[in-house]
Parts: sequence; structure tokens; C-alpha cells
Amino acid sequence: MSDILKISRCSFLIAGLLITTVNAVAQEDATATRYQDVPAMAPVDGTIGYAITGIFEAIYQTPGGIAECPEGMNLGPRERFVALYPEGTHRPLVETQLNSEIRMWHPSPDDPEEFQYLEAQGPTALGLNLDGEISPNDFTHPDGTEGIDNQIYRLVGCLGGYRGPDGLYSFAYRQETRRRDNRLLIEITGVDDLSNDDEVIVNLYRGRDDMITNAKGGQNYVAGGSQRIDTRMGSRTTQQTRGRIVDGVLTTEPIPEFLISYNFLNTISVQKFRDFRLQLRLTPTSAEGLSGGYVQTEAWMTHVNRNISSHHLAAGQTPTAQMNQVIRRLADAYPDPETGENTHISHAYEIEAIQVFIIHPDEEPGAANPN
Amino acid sequence: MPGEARATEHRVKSVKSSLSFISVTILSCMATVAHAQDLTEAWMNEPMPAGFQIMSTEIAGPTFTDADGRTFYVWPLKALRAGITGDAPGQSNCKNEKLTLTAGLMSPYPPGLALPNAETRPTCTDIWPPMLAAENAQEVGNWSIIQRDDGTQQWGYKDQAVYTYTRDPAPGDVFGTDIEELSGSLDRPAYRRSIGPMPLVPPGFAVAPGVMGMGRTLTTDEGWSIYVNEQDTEESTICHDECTLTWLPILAPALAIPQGEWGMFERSPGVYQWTFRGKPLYQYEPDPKTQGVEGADVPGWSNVYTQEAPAYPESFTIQTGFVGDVLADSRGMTIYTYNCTEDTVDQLRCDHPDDTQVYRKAMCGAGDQGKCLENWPYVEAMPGEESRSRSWSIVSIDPSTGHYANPDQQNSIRVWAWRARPVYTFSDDQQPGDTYGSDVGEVRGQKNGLQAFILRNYF
Repeated sequence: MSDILKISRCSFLIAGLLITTVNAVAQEDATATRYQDVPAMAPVDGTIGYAITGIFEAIYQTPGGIAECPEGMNLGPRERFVALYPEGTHRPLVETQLNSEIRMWHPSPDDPEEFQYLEAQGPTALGLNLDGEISPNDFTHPDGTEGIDNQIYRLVGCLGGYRGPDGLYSFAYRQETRRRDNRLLIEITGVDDLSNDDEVIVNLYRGRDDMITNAKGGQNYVAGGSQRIDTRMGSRTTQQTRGRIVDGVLTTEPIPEFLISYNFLNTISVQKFRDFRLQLRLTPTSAEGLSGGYVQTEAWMTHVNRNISSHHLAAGQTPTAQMNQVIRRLADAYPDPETGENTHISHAYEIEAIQVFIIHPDEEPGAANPN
Repeated sequence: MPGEARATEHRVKSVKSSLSFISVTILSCMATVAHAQDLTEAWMNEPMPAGFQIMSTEIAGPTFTDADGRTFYVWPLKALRAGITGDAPGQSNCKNEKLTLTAGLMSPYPPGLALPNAETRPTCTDIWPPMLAAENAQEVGNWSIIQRDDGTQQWGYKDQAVYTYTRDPAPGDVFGTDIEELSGSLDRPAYRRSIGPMPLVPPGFAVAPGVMGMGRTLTTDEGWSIYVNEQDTEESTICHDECTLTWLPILAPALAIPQGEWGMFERSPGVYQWTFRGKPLYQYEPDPKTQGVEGADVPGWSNVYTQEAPAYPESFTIQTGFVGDVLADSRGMTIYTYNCTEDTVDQLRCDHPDDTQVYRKAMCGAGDQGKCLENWPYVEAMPGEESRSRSWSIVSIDPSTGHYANPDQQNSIRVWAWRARPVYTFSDDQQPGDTYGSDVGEVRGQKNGLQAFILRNYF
């Protein structure tokens, strides 16, 4: 090979290496930009809105559930019914079917627990530290944060229907975000910098419009749609709190009392929270993270019984008759002044959201944000 | 822009429908418009067996009945979670047989459970007597004759066996149908439904059955709601230019002629728009779904009802809940209905005061009628109150049993009832608009449970 050719080949190699290196650095920079160094970008008028596209109980899962459910999953209502009232025996409807329903809807502390209830085990759970303390009963987050308060996880962690991605409720609840009456909005105002801001205002609304999707439709949402606020039926679920953004993560102050209405299987239920707060990683087009709070145990059980109801509870192997007893044991907040029994249980949702333009009633459509 | 595209689409469709409407116009000249009272729905006459008639009913509009006014029902096959029941075409599955066990059709409970009060449980034909045809009866039009297993003959309509309902108290009552049965959900029981003639509407239009508190709604044949404006007249409209991008005029074909309540006016030279009861008709472009009601939120605009819903009691109120408007009592507390169907092949209902009360008591009070009265109190009628419709009534109930009582019975109470079945409020509802008791029970209140009386679901 001539010297000129050798030099040319070498030059190309060096150039190729340089280009590759530059690209690698650029990609790394982009990644760093996305998560660690969000451009000091202030949304127009200091306001950015999001619509929640996924909201479901935060379930820590290991492959096969071996760590957190070493004894397997709980038996569901169908399996229990067959075990309690086997075929071939005399089975009056009143003493079998109606009795099972009564135990779901009218639980009594004296109801027997014929089966062992399998709670989620282990020290690890997703969630937030709600009380600022590290207690023996608390979990540790996979990222190492201690003091995680999420006792509802012990209740549902070993129920087939709750475990993703294919647990019946796990995917179905996310599917239901397509419904307009499940349009939960987060509006953040006073934002000087989406990566760091000591004080922002966070408004929670209920929307009323369909989401924009890509050509595939379904849950393939895209950012940039508009959402009108439902001021009529959503007024009782509207709340405001303060927050701060640190390294792109929004953390809000707790909302003392907060209602979330959610339609699942054509039934709308209202969850009653206390000390509800959000911790979301924000980008200009999306947000994801966790909520935390104490949910009223009675409202939560009623929601499960009502919305999921007989057939789907059986399909998701969710024995609410016994769960009525277990949730009372696991409840860890707000004791009843008369009985001393805790009325609320620590809780966490995993939340996904996408950027939308939130339209207030007094605004003209399309004028909210020219971006 | 979407409004222009939809308007163009309408114009094209109206032109195409001209020819078909000519033929229908000829046929419809043969139809009669019978009004028992104002604002009832007109229908297309059709040949019927002797003695059959069509009555305007409060709930279902024009309905076929026998000579005594007893409403006709059919029971189409329906898929449930674990099986199918109902009448196959040309057959009757409703027999004079005592059933004693469940069929396990409605999940999750297995078949073979012993029914309560099996000794006194009525048979299917006790509640749904077949409309028998005489030996020498002749089939006519859509009416056929079906051979029953016991050798008798039963009338069929469009191949579906026809029945009456022994619990329709008076001529023209339609208490046996489920207003929302058209949902087709696997979780909804296999309800019977009333039958009636086709509505008298031009091609391109349809009538949607009333849902709970809404009347029977005029729609396009694709189900989109139709609206009118209060300022419009038979010969004028306030909606022109930009307005027509939101409110899409429903144009009439050039060869259409007025008939009965239907007319047209020339909104611009050579362009005719349909009118109904003297008002030009529009679609609301932003309506997010068929049978929508969002257009009625715009001041001055309203849906078109061929027939209004039965008037609810005067003391009742309307409150705003989490999904829309709910019917409430005078204090603003949401009204609930109780629904129950047994998981049997015959799918008999179990929500009537004449039925066994074990199902209701299980849901409302863990089997205890006293707790039922606490958790789900009846809506008592105030002294002197009277109903303004047939579908709402005041009935006497024995509160210790939940059954009907003789009005002279010492402990009986007078309570409001919807379609002869008492309605309730819920003790956990604290303020107007609360619906914490809705969909409580088996299968979200559809199989054995309670549901809020929703007048309008915005979603």
C-alpha cells in the first residue's frame, strides 16, 4: 500500500474515531441533560400542566414474587367458595353466596378468617416517607430511602390482580385513563426554572376532555393537548398546595384532605385521602413518580368492592371479605376518637403524566399557551 | 375545519337520501300520527293481529299491547359471563317449571345453589305469561306463530316470542323492561324488553330510548344528538355563518315534503333545513359521543325529545354528583333504586316487594331488615303528596318485612316508588350530590344492589 493510501486510511480511521467519540459524548450529554441537568427553562408564563395517564397502587415486585410473596399468591373468592362449600354438599344460596356477599359489604370484627392471608413480606417497598420518621414497620425504598410508609402494599402485594404488568387491575386501571371522567390534572404555576425552584404552586383539577394520541390511538398519548377544567362536577376534587422543585423533582406539601374520583368499569368511586402529596420527576413533556398519603380504609375497601365487584374480584383473586379484617390490622393512622382504631392506612400510587395545556373557564380556547 | 367538513358531509348525505326518502314518503303517507296527548311520539303503523294495538307509554314511547293494554315484551338471547339464556329466534325458553337451583350464569358463583323460598318461587310463565295465539290464528306482517313445548301456540314478533308481564299494574305500564338493557354488557342480566313500532321519522333520523331520567331523544341514524334553539321559529333561525361551524344544520333533501311534526324551511335560497315541532334541527359539532347532551349546556340550546321522561315527584330535587345530575329527595339526598335478578335460566327479577326479600336484606343490612331501614331508608311521601306520572307512585310498605302492606295496616308507611319498586336514600351520603351508595352490591349493583338515579351522565 502506498504511503498516501496509508495516510488516507489512517485519517479516515482517526476521523471516524473522533466522530464516534463526539457522538458518544453528545448522547451522554443529552442523557445528562434529560435527567440531571434539565435546561434552566421556564415554561411560558411560569405555568405548566400535566394530565395523569397512569395511576395505580405502587407495588414493589421481584421476579416471580419470590422475595415479597414467598408463599405465593392469595386464594381468590372463587377458590375460597369452592373450598368452603364443595360441590356435592347441600349449598343453600342464602348461606353460601349471600353470606359471602354480606361479609364483603357488611364486615364484622367477629367474621372468621378461614384462610391464611398472605401479606407482602420484606423490607422493600415503593412510596414516600409520610411522617418524617423511620419506624420498625416502615419500608426502605429501592433507592435506599428509609422510612417509607406504604402499608397498603402489604395488603395488595400478593394479590394477582394488583401485580403488573398483566394483573387484571394493574393494566385495566391504566386503560381507564382514557375516560374523560378520569382526567386528573396537575397545574404548576410560578415556575421560574423547571429544574430548580424553591417555591411553586400546585393546583389539582379534574379535566373533561379526551386526550390526544398518536396514530395508534388507545393509550398512546402525546403531549400538547388541551384540557378544560371541570368546574362543575370536579369542584369537590379541586385542591391547591405548595411545592418545590429540586434537580427536576417536584415535591409538594401535604394536602390535609383530598378526594380522588375515579371511574373503573362504569362505576365512579371516591377515595378519601389525608396528607396527600406528590413527588414527580418533571420534564417539559411528561412527569412521573409517586403520590403518598393516608387513605381512609372504609372508602378504599368500598371502592374495591364496588368498582371491581364480584366477577372481577374473583378474576383478580382478590378476597375482599378477608381483606376487610386485614386492612384494619394494617391501618396506621388517624385513630377513631371513640374506638382508638386507626381509620386510615398509608398508601402510594405510581403516577405517570403527560404535558397538556390547561384551559381555565375564563380563557378563550387556544390562547392558553402559544407553545 | 371540522365544522365545514361535517356540514359538507351532511349535505352529501341529504342529497343521497332524496331518492330513498321519496319511497318512504309514499309509504309514510299511509301512516297515521296518533297522539294520545301532546308531545308523544308518532309512529309508523304496521299490520297487526286482530285485537293488538299501539299505545303511547310513558317510559317506552309507542308500544305494542293487547286489547286490554297489557304491554308486550320479548326476551332476546343474551350472553352472560358463564353462559347464554333468553329466547332463541322462533323458540320460547320461558316455561311453566319450578326452578330450585341457580344456573351459575352470572359469575363468580357456581351453579347448583339452592334458591331461597324455592317452594313458593313463581315459574317463568307465572310472571311472564306467553301471549298465546288461537288455533286458527294467522301470521301477519312481522307477527309470527311459535310452537311451545306444551303444544300451545305463542305470538312472536320478528321471530321473538312475545309475553306480557303480570306486574304491569295498569294498561300502558312498562314496568318489566330495563331502560338501559341495550348496553349488552356481560354483567347485565338477561332482561326482557318492550316492543313497539318504528318511529315516524325521515331517513337519517332515529329515536334513542329514554335512559332513567332522560326522555326519548331524537338523534341522527348514527346516534348523534339533535338540538334546537329556543329563539328559532318554524321559518327562521338565529344560526348563520360562523355559528354553523359549531351547530351543524341538518339539511333536508330537495324532494322532501312536510308531514305531521316534520317540516322544512328555506334557510338560504335553495337550501332547506329539517324542522321538527316547529324548530330547525342542528347537530352540535363538539359533542364527544353519540346521544350526547353537551350541546344543552350552551344557553338557549336543548336536546330534542320526542317524548319527555315521566315527571318525577314535585318534592324531589336535582343535585350535581361526581359524574352528572342525580335525582334527590327534598333534602338533596340522592335517590337510589334497588335492582335484583336471580342467577337462573329464567332470570326472574327479585327486586319487587312481592318477591323474597332475602336478596335485598343481604345487601342493605347484612340480612337484618332493621339495619336496612337505618342504612337505606325509604323515601317517605309527605302528607298530601301525589304523583305526577304513572311510573312514579306512592305505595304502602310494611317496614318490618319490605313487602307491600295494606294501606290500613297500622305500621305501614307510604313511600315513593319507581315502576312499583320503592326507592331509597343512603345514610352515608352527607351532602347533596353524594353518591357513595351507588353501585353497591353484586356486579356493581346490577345483579343484586343499589344504583343512584342518575338523570344525566356528562361522561
